[in-house]
Amino acid sequence: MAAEKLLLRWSEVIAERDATEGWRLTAQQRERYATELAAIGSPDLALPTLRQIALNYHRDQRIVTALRNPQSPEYSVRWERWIDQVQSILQHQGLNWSTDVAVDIEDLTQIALLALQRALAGYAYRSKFSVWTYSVVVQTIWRYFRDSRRLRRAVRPESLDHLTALDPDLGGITADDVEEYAQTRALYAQIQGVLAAQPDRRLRYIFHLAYIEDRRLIDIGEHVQLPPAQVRTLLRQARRVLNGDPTIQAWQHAAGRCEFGCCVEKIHA
Amino acid sequence: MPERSCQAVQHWLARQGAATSHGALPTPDLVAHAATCPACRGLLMTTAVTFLNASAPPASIVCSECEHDLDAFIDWEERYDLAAAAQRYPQIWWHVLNCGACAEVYAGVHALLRAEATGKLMAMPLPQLYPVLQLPRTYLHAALAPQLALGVGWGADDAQQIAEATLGSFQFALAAYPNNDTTVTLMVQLDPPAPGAIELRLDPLFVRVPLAADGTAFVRDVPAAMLTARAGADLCLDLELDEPFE
Repeated sequence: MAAEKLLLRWSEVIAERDATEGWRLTAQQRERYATELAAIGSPDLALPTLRQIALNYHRDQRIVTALRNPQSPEYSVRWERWIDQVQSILQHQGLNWSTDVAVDIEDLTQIALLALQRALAGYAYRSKFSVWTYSVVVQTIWRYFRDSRRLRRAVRPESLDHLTALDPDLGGITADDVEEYAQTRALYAQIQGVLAAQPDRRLRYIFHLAYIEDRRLIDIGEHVQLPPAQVRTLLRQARRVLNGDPTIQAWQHAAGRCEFGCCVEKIHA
Repeated sequence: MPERSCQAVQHWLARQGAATSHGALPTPDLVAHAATCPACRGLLMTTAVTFLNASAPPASIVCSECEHDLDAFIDWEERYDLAAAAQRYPQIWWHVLNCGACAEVYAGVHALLRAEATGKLMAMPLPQLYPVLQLPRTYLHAALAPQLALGVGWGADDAQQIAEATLGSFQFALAAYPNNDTTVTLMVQLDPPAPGAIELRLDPLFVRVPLAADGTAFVRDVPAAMLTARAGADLCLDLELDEPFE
């Protein structure tokens, strides 16, 4: 009886949206919409929410259905397209790198895709599919980094601990909570922005290799095909640029340090 | 530079009267500060009570509960504004104000939405639906009923061309093949072929058929009477393409 009432309620909502939005659904479509949405449940939701769900369903049910059904000929093609999309999301969020040499962008992409695949069954059209996807990917990768740190695995946050250990003068950076992590990431973005504005594009890359990936000068030299002495010169140049930048200086004043250890000379001077 | 001070929290609170734009919740840094500062927490609670017109701040929830509804909260905020989202999902709003981790995810999702809107992030690979044909029943009746009634006149290959259309650089053709006296197969031809599907609506019928590699799609066993009826909703054909076309 409750199921029938729910189906009826959804039928009414669909009919109303169809008329308002001009979807021009056929009877068969209206019935399918109502049946599928009733199967999701949500009997207690308010009318505005039901309307929103109906809108999201109408817009996104094609892609969701294709991604949910492994028997569909479109299934693998659709998922392949999402590999690029997820990589693009990770890159944009600055979550595409890890100091763990065993974990690269491909691994993080797979982690995010797997999470999407698992979570897809629970997607109930309460938001646009794009918003839901962004939310799942960002949550998954942040959770991965947090869990990794808890497990003492050598990913990015532990590398920051490692930097502390390398230079005790940096003073007790534990990177032990999300706030610290968020700040570190913001600082990293700031630094990358400053270096990216430099005419010498190598500065940004070499800085990343030295301070984020914690590579030795000789390794960086091999990687960028420069002698170690020149790498050292470029790093010095990068530090000079950073120490002279007002935003980085403001950060130093506020935090009393630079978490990446790149501005130590200035602080100690 | 991180916003960490009580002053930053106060500035944010002062802005809340007019906070209806996207991503108007405080930054993760500010949330993290407020979580550990009794003075700021007190201010936040006062704001929450005023903002929601409630007698007390919303009940606390854990991160997993927030994760479950965070996308719906953001979607509501995108559709209306932050105040509307806070009214509909007060516990999510309150949790994001108090949890640095969830505030980070919230900020991240908003950053992605902004990037998508400004073309800095590639758009989601969602299929695009384009209306191609809309044929009144009277037209179908005139085009098909005489041939079906006589059982002749279907052309050299037994096909009756029904309509043609152009969509950008695509040519689109719809033809009918009689199976017997009572059913017809409709054939759609897209030239040049492209990955996608067609959706055919002929109330009460609705069919979605993927396009084959040669650009054809067949809708089989359509009742002939449905095509030749004088009255009824129009026949609508939509083309679903995997990539938006220029």
